[in-house]
Amino acid sequence: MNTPRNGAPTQGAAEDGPRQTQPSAGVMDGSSSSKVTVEYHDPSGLFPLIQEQLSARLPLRNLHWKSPSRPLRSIDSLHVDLIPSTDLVHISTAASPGLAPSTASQGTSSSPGPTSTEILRPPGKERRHQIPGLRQTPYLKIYILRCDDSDTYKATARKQVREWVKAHTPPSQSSSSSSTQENHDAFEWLILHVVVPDTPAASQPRGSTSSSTTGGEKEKSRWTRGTATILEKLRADFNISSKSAPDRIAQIRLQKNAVPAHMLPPASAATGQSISENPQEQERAWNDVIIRFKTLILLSFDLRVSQYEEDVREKDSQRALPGWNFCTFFILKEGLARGFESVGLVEDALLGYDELSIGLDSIVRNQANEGSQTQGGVLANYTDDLYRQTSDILKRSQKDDGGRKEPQPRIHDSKPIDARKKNYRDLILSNNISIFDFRCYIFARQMSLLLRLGNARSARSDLASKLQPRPNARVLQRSVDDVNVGAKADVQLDESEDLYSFAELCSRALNFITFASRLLREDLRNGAQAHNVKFPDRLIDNLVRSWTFAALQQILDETTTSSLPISKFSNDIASGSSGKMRSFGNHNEEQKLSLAEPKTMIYPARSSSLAFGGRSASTEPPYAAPTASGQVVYENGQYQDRPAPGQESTTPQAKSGLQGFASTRAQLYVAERRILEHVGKSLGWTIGWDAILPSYPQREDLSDVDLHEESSSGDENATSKEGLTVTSPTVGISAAAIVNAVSSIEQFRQFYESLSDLIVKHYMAAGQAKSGESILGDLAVVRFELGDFAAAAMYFGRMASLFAETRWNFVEATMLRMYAQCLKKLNRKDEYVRTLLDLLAKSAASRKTIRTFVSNAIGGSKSWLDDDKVDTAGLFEELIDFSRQLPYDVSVPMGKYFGDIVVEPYVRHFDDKDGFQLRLQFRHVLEDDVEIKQAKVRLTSATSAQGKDIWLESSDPIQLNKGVCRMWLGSNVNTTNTFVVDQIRIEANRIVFLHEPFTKAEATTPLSIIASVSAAALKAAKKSRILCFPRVEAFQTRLYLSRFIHIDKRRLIEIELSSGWNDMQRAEIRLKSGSAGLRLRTADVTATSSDVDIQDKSRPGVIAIASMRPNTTATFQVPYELETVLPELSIKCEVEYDTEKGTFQYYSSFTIPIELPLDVNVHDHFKNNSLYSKFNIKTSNQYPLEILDIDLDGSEEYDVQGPRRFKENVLVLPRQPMAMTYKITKASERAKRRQSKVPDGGSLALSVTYRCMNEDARDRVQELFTRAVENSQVRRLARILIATFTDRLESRVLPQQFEKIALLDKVHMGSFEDMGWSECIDSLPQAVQEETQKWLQKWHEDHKYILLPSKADIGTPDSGTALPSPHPPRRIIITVSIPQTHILHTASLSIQSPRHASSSFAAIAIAGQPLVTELRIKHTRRWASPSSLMAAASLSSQDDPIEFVYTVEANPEMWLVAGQRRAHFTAREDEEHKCPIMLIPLKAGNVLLPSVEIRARIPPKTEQKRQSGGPVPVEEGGEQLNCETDLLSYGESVMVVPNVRRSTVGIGNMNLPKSTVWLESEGGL
Amino acid sequence: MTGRVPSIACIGVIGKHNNPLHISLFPAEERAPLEFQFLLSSCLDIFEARLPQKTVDQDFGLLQAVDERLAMYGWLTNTGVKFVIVVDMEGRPATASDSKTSTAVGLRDADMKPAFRALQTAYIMLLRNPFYSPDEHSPLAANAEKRVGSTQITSRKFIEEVKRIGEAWAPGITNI
Repeated sequence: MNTPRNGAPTQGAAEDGPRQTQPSAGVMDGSSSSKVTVEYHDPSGLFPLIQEQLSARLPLRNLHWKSPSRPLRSIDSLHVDLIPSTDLVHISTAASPGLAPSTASQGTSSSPGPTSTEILRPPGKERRHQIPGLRQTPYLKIYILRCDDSDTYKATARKQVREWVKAHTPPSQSSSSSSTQENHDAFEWLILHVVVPDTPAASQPRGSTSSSTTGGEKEKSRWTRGTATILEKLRADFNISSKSAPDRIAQIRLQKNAVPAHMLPPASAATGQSISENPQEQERAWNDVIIRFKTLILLSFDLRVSQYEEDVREKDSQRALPGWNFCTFFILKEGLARGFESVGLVEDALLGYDELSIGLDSIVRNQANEGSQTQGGVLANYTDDLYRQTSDILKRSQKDDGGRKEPQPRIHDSKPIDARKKNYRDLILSNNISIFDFRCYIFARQMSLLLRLGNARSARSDLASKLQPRPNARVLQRSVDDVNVGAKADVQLDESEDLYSFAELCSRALNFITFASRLLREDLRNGAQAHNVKFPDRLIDNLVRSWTFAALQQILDETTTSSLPISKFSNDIASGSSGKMRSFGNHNEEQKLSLAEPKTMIYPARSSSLAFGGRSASTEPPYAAPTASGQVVYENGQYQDRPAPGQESTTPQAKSGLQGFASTRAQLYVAERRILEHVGKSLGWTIGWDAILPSYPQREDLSDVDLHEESSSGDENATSKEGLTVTSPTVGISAAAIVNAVSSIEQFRQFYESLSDLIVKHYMAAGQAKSGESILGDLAVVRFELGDFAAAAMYFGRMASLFAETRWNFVEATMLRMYAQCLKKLNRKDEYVRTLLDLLAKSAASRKTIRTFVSNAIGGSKSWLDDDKVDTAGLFEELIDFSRQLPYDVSVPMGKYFGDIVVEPYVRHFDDKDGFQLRLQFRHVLEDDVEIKQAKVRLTSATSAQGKDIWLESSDPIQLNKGVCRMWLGSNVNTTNTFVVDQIRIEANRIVFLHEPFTKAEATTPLSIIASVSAAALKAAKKSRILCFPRVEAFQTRLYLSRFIHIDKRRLIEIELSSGWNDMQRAEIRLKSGSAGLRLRTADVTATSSDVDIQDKSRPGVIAIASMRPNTTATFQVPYELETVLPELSIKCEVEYDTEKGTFQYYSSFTIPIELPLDVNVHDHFKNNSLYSKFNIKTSNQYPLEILDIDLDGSEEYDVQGPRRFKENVLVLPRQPMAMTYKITKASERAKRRQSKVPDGGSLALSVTYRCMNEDARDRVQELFTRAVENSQVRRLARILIATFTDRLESRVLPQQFEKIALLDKVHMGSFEDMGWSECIDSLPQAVQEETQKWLQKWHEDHKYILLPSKADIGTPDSGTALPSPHPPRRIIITVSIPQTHILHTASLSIQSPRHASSSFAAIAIAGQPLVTELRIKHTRRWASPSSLMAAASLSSQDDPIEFVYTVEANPEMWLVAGQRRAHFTAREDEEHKCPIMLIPLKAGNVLLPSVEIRARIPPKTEQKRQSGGPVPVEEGGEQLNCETDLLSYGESVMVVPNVRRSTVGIGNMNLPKSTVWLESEGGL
Repeated sequence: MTGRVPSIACIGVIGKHNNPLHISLFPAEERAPLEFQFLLSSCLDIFEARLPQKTVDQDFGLLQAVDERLAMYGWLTNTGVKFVIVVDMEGRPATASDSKTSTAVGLRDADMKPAFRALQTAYIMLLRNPFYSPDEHSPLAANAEKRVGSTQITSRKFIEEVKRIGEAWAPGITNI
C-alpha cells in the first residue's frame, strides 16, 4: 500500500519536466468526458473492416449500473475510445497485415512492473501514476479474432487466444491475484470473432435460425448443435461455465463486399456454402456485440468503483494517523469522482468533489487553528507563480514607460477558473499547492461538472473538442472512436439546458468567487511576506478585483443560454467584453491587439468555438433542433426514444428554473458591478448614490488608497496613467472590461450603466422586483448625473412610491429628495412643490413622534439606523421660497408639518380697543426658520349653524423658529358667544397650511368605522369651545321690544347702542331678520335720543349713524311687521363702527318675545243712557303681572267715568284676574252733531301700565348683580358673567317661583352649584378662573335671597335688596270699540195690584190669585248710527216706527200668563208702549217674574227693496238689526204664598170611622 | 495574515409585509445607510424565491454574497418576520482570541445560527412587552390610518439588544 505513495513525489517530479514541455498532454490528462477506452488487439488487421459498423453503433447508450451502495444509475450515452493495443502496434509495424499470429506481443507485455496490468500499458503514452484513478486504462480489451476454419482454430488461433487471454485475465478473475489494488485498472476482455466471408467459418451456421429467439435460446441452440462451429468451440474453450459469468465471445460476419480482396481467402479455399445473413440478422449480431460491450464495461467499472471506494474508506480511516496526507487522499478520491465522470455519472462526480471541498475546509481549518505543520499535509499559503507574476507586474509598472510596449504580465486570463490552466494535480501530488490554487481547482472541476449537468453549450463544445481524435495519439492509423459521428450529432442533439444546474453553478460561483478573492488577497500578501517584499495595497486590490471580475465574467459567459431571453443581449455584452478581454496587454491599442491576440491564445479553438457556437445556436430555439432519430436504440422494446421525454420536460422545467437562474445571474452581475464601483472609487470616481450623496460617510476604507494616489486620483486619470507614478491606479487590472471601463469616466459610467441594465433585466426575468427596483434606483442616479433628469425623475418617482408602500422610509425620503431635484431641474414646479411637501411631511412626522427620545438619538449611540431620520435641512426654506413662482396657492394639511396645533380657548382682550385675541400655538419641528406671511384662525359658532364666522389674523409676518411657536391672533369682532375653531390657516408665500381640528378628529377613528361622529365631535368641541365675550368697556347693543305698544299701530323694537369707551366716528347698524315673515322697517327708524344723527336709512336693513361719543347711549326705534303670528322675533344685529383705532364689528343675535303678557276681556252692559264696560285683565301666560295703572280714555263721542284710581299696584296672578268697570255715556250735543259725520267713531282706548314679573325680577336681580360685579375684582369679565347670569336666571331660577316672588317680594337664588357656573368658568382663562369662582361663590353665599320690594319701602338699599327696575314699565294701549246696538229696549214688568204696589219689598202674591202687571216697553236708537239702523231695519227714515214683537216668557209651571203673551207693536223712539198682563202664580215660593224678549220684526228684504227703491245700501244687506233689551224687572221676584188663611177640623168619636170632620175653612182674598 | 476577521456589518429586522422594523449598522459611521437598505430590500426577493422550497427550518443560510467582503444571511420566523445579517468578512481587526479559520475557510451557516437565535430571542422579548403592539408596526395599519413615517421598532431595549448581538458576534461563537 505504501509503495505507490512513496514513489509519488519522485516520479511526479521527474515527470514534471517533460509535462511542461508537452502542454497538450497535460490538457488531455485533466480532461473530463464520458468516455471509456476500449483496447483492441487485432492481430489479423481486421479492425478497419468492422470499424465502420462498430462506430455507427456507438456511443453506447442507456447503460444501467447498479452498485450495492447506490441506487440505480443510468448512463445515457457513453463514448467509447477504441485504441489499438500496443501489442498491435508492434505487430502491425513488424508483421505484415494478414493472419500472421503475433507472439511477439507477449514479449512486449513482459515489461517490468509490479503488476501484470501495468505491463500492458503503453509506455510513454500515458504518464503513470502510483496513485490510481487517473488512468484512462481500458475498461475492455477485445481480441479481434480471425479464424477462418476450425482447423486454423485448433492449430493456431486457440493457442493465440489462450495466451492472450492468459495475459489479459483481469485480476478479478485470476485466482492468483488477490490484491484488490489491482482493481483500479480492472478490465474485462472479449473475443470478437470476425467471420470473413467465403471462408469455412462463414459457412458455419450461426446457430440462430429464427430472428425471434432470444439470446439465451440462441446460446442454447448453439450448444445443442454440437461443437462443430468455431464459435461454439470458442465458447467452450474460453467461457467460464458459471451462470453468472458473462459471455465473452461474440461473432460478427463481414459482408463480402466490405472485405478487401486481399483479406479474402483464395476462392479455392472456399469449402462450404457461405451463409449470407440478411440485414436483420446482422443487426442482431451487432446488437449482441454491443450488449457484450456494455455488460463488460459496466462490470469492470463496477470493480473499479468498489476498489476506489474501499481505498477511500481505508485512507479516510487513517486520517488520524500521523503522516496522513490530504493531497494523497484527494487524488485518490478524485480518482473515483473522475471515474464517475468518465462514465457520465456527473452527479456522483459532483458529490465526490463536494465532499472533497468540505474535506479541504476541515484541513484548512485545522491548519489555521494549529498554525503549524500538522498532519494531513500542509498547504502553501501563497502561490508561487502568482507571486512571481505580481512582482513582474510591479516591476513593469515601475519602469518608466509603464511597461506598455509589451503585453503586460497578468495573473489571469479571461478564464481564471480552469482546471487545466495549471498542472494542479501534480501540484497536489507534490504537496506543493496553495490553498487558493487548490480551491480554484476544485471549483473548476465542480464548475465543469455542473456545466455538463446543465448541458451548457460551452460544456458541449468542450466535450466535442475533447472527443476529437487525440492529437498525440501516436497511433499510425486507426485510433478511431465514435466521436466523429457522435460529436456532430451531439451538438444538435442536446440543446435543452438544465437551468437548475446553471443556477446552482451561478450561486456556487458567487460564493466561491467572493471567497476566493479574499483568498487571493491573502495569498498575495503572504507571498509578498514570504519574500520580504511589499506589494502596494493598490496593486493587490486591483489584482484581486481584476481576478474576481474575470472569474465572474467567465461564469456568466459559460452559463450564457438562449433560454434566458435577455441572454441575447448579455451575449453581446459578454462576447463583446470577452473580445476585449483577450487584449490583456496594452489597453490603448486593444482594438488592434484584439485581432492579433487570438493567435497567442492558449486555446484559440475553444474560445472561438464557444463564441460562435453560442451565438449561432442562440438564434434557434433549443427545441427546434432535430431529434437524432438515427441514434435511437431500440433494444427489446425497453429503450425509448431519448430526446422525446427530455423535450417534453424542457419547457416547464426551463420556465421554472429560469427564475432562479436569472436571479443568480443577476447576483453575479451585481457582484461585478460592485467591483466596478470599487475600482472606480479607488480612481476617485464615484457613481451611483455615493456620487450624489456625499454627505454619507465614505464606506471605502482609505487604506486601499495611498496618499499619493489620493492626490492624483482626483486629477485627470490620463495623467496618472501616463504619469510616472510608482503604481498607477490601474496597474494590475487586467480584466478587459474593467480596463476598458477605467479608461475614462464616460466609459466607466457607460459600463456601469450597461451592467445595471443587465442586472435589472435579469432581476425582472427572475421576478425579483424589489432587487430590480433598487438597481433601477442606481440607474436613475446615473441618469441624474448625466443630466437626463426626465428619465431620472420617472425612476425616482416610481421607486419612492414603491418603497413607501412598505415603509422604507429612509429610502423613500432619499428617493423623494432626488425626485425633487429632478423636478426642479425640469421646472415642473407643481410636482416639485408637492414632492418637497411629501418629504417634509415625512421628516416632520418622524420628528413629531420621536420627540420623546430625541435626546437619546442624538446623544446616544447611532448604531442603529433610525429609519425615520430624514434630513431635510434647508428644504422647507427652499419650498417656501420656491412657492413664490407658483401661479396659485397650494394648500396642505398643517398637521403633517407642525405638531401640537392648538388654539388656546381663552380670549384675551386688547388693552385699548374692542375685539379680542386668541393664542395659536404649534410646534415647528423642521430645522429651517421660515417666515410666514399670515396666520389665521376661523371660528364658527358652536351653537347655531348660521352664526357668523370670525376670522382672527396675525398682523405681521412671523418668523418661525424651531420649537414651539406661539402667536396672538387678533380680531376686531365684538361678540358674546361660544365658538369652535373651524380652521387654522398659515400662509407662507404660496403654501397654505390648513388645519381643521374637528374634521380631522372624525377622520381618524380607528378600525375605520364611522363611529358616532356626533358624539366624538361634540366631545372634541366641548373641550375646545371658545367663549368669546367683549371687554366690559366695549361697545354694546341691546335690542328689545318697545315698552309702549299701541295695539292698533305698528309695533316697534328698540335698539340701544352704548358706545362704551369708543369714540365712534361712524357706525353702521345692520339688522337682519331671523324669523320668517318678519319685516323690519329700518327706513322708518327714529331716534329716541337726540344726540345721535341718523345719517342714512335708505338702504333696507341698514342704519348709518354719525359719531357717538364715548360712554353715551343711543336708542332707536324700528317698526316691524309680521306676516304671520310669531311668538318671538329673532333678529341679528351687526354693527360696524370706526374709531381712531380702526374698524370694529359687533355681532349679536337677539330673540325678542312679542307675545303680550296680558289678556283683556270686556263685558258691556247697555243702559238707556249709559254703557257699563267691565274690563277683565288676566295674564296670558303664567307670569304674574303688576298693574301700575289702568285707564280708559274717553273719546269725542263718549265720556267715560271710571272708578277711583287705586293706590297700590295690583297684582294679577294667573288665577286672580283683575276687573275694572267703566261707565260710558254718550257725549251729548257734540256727539249728536257729529253723528252723521262719523258713523263709527266710537272707540275708546284702554291703556294699561304694567310690569311683567319675570322681566321685572330679572332686570332687578341682574342690576343688582351687575353692580356687584362692576365693583369687584372680576370687573373685566363683567360682560360674560352678566350674560351668563341672566341666562341662568331666566332659565333656572325664576320660572318656578314667580308666584312666590309676586307674593313675597323675594327671590330665592339657589346655591352656586345650582346656577351652573362651571361651564362658564371653565372657558375663562386659567389665571382668572379661581378668582372668579371664589367671587361668585361668595356672592351666592351673600345673596341667597334677594328682596324685591315694591317701591314704597326702598329706604335703605342694602346688598340683598334689589333696586326697582331701571327700566320704565311697559304700557299698552288697547282700543276698545263700543259695540253697535241699533235699538235698545227698556222694558219693565211692574205689578199693578194695589196691595202690592206700595210695598217696597218683594211683592207677595197668592198662588192661584191673579196678579195684574203692566208691561212697559220703550226703546232708544242712540247706540247705533242712524244709517246703519236704517239699513238694518229697512227704514226709510230714522224716525220711522219699527214693528216689534214682544214675548213674555214664563215658566209654565210657575206662571199662568193671562192676556197677550206675545204681541206685535209698533213704536217710535222713546215711545212707551204699555200693556197689561195678568199673571197667575201657580206655586208658592219666591218666584222670579217672567222675562220679556223683544224682537224687531223686519219686513223681508225683497219686499223692502221693492218698496223703497234705491236708498238702501247694498252692503248692509247682511246686517241684522241688533236689538237688545234692558229688562228693568230682571231679577225681581214675587213671594207667592198659598191662598189659605184658616181651617177648622172637628174630631168626633174616636171609635167611629168617620169621626173627623172638616169644619170650616176661611179662604184668602 | 493581516488579520481581519468577520464581523456583523448590519442587522436588519424586516416585518411580515417587507417593511423594515429595525436596521442596525456596525460600526454605524462607516456604513452607508442607503447601501445597506438597498441590500436588505433586495434580499427580500431571495426570501420569497426560496420560500416555496423551505419546509420547517427557519434558517435561510447564506442569501447572497454581495462582494468580496459582504455576505447576507437570512432567518425567517414563523410570523413572517425576517432577520437579515450582513457580515463583513473583513469587518474588524483580529484579536488574539479570534480564530483564524474563517478567513481561510469562510463562514459556515452554522456560524450565524447563534446570532439569529439571539435575535429571535430579542424579538420574542419585544413581543412579550405588553406595550409593543405588532400591529402598530405594520404598514397596512399605518396606511389605513394614514400615518406618515416608518413602522420601525423604537423599543430601546430591543435596539440595545440588537446592538449587543451585532457587536458580540464572531465566527465560532456559540452563545450570544
